[in-house]
Amino acid sequence: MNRYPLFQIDAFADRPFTGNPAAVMPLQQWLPDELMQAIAAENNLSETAFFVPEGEGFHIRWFMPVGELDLCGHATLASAFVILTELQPGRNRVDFASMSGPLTVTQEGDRFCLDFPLREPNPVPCPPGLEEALGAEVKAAWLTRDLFALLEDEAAVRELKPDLEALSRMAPSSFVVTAPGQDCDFVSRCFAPREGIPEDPVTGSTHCVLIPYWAERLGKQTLFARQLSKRGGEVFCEKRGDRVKIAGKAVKVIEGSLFL
Amino acid sequence: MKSYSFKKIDAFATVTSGGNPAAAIYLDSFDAITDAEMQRIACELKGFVSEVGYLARLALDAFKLRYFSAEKEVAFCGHATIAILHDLVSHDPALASLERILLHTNKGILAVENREGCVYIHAPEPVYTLCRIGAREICEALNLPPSALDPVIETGIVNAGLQTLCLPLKTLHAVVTAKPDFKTLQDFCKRHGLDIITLFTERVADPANRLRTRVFAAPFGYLEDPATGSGNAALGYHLHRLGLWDGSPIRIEQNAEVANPNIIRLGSMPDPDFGIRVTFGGSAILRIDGRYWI
Repeated sequence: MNRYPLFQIDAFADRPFTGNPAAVMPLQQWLPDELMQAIAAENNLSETAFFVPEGEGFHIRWFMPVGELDLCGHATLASAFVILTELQPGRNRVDFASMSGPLTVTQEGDRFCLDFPLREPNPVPCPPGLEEALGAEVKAAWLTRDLFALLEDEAAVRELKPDLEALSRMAPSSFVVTAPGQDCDFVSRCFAPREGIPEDPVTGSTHCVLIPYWAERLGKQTLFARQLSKRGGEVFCEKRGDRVKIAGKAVKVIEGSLFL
Repeated sequence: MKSYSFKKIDAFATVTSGGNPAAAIYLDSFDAITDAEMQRIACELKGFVSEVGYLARLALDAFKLRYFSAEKEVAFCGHATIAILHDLVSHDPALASLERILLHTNKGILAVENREGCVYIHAPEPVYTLCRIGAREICEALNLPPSALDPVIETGIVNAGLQTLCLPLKTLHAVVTAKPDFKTLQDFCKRHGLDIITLFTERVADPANRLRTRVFAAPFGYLEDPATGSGNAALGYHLHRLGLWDGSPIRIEQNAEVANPNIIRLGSMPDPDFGIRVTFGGSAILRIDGRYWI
């Protein structure tokens, strides 16, 4: 049998049982695609990241239990955490090549910082049926890959019990609610029932849109956000021109060997 | 932060089959972890393994083992027991030489037999019930054509821990292609007070095996158990009662994949009250060996 290193990491977490879990498998060379898919299905986490050395950095790929994904923030953060704390401690930057182009993660103290493109929040009228499906008043809406709904306050986001069945019949497939935070700059939650994710614990990519909106509204470039899922997570944000920095801490949950 | 020895072990797996996964946390003692922490870890592992076993050594040949599903602590779990005990005897030479290991569980103390690379546990004493469910209703519940049923062997209900309908089918094809609907099966089981359904045939893919089975467990919230101790142990009692099995060691192939089944072994001990006590067991494959941090 062959032995492969396997990690499970909680990303955007500062303690166990919080943040968004990802499995991470550092490889020396790619395994067959079917095998990586089977491993991701067996792990049954939202994403399993695989990476191999390439040049000075690594090539990274992300698999959901049902297929490969073009980009995944939290599993990239988790992979960088493994490289910078376990495999090559002493470095403070890791460069990944990926299906979505180059991605860089830098370490700043105990935070791991993703550098992503900013996505402009394009205002749209509140889609019919959205307020009913969310069970909350929508103050503003904007659309990118996901639909974003601005709610009244943090309590409205925290206590939201959306009708997931109704959301799964609407477009697009992913819905984000946000509001000003009480002890942070803003809060959010993300629901993607049609993709098999009733609620995502912590979502890196939605912050590509949330950061420019809240940076403009609050008149500050550096923000601290919380995602109010049941697991909860902390996201350290910064707007820098047409890029955003999305940073979080990470916690190692499992370190082991997978025998195949 | 605390960390524990963590393993994922596939019970009844072979080199080509996945078995039934269980997680194990090996403790120095149960003082090292709280009940809430054990429950929380099992909850984190939901969708990865159905049960997590927590084990601490009590004596050279005795261990305490507690089982947690994502929802709650459960009194006993057969496949996790086989997985964990097989791992212990495979990696500890002192245990490998013991023929019998005692397990203290919330259900009482039980003996695990260790022989020829496999571990076995005793199935509970059987309770037999006459099956009064009509063939037509059974076929509808399992989405089977009536021609799939084997008219020669009796259908029976046996409780050896779980109320089990043992249903004989004529061909290997009928067993491996059975595709019941989850909700229909759940309603059927509820109506008749059944926990699980074991489909079986003597037409096997590998002549080294005596039976092919598949086990459906809709009342537990999932359709099929890929490798199970209790469902096959109940079948062992059923076949013994019908005079079709004398209790000598047999291998059973289980799951829907013709060429890559999981392997469950049955044996027996003489029992003055029940004729025999069925033992079930097998081997397991260590899939992940590591540590778990909380």
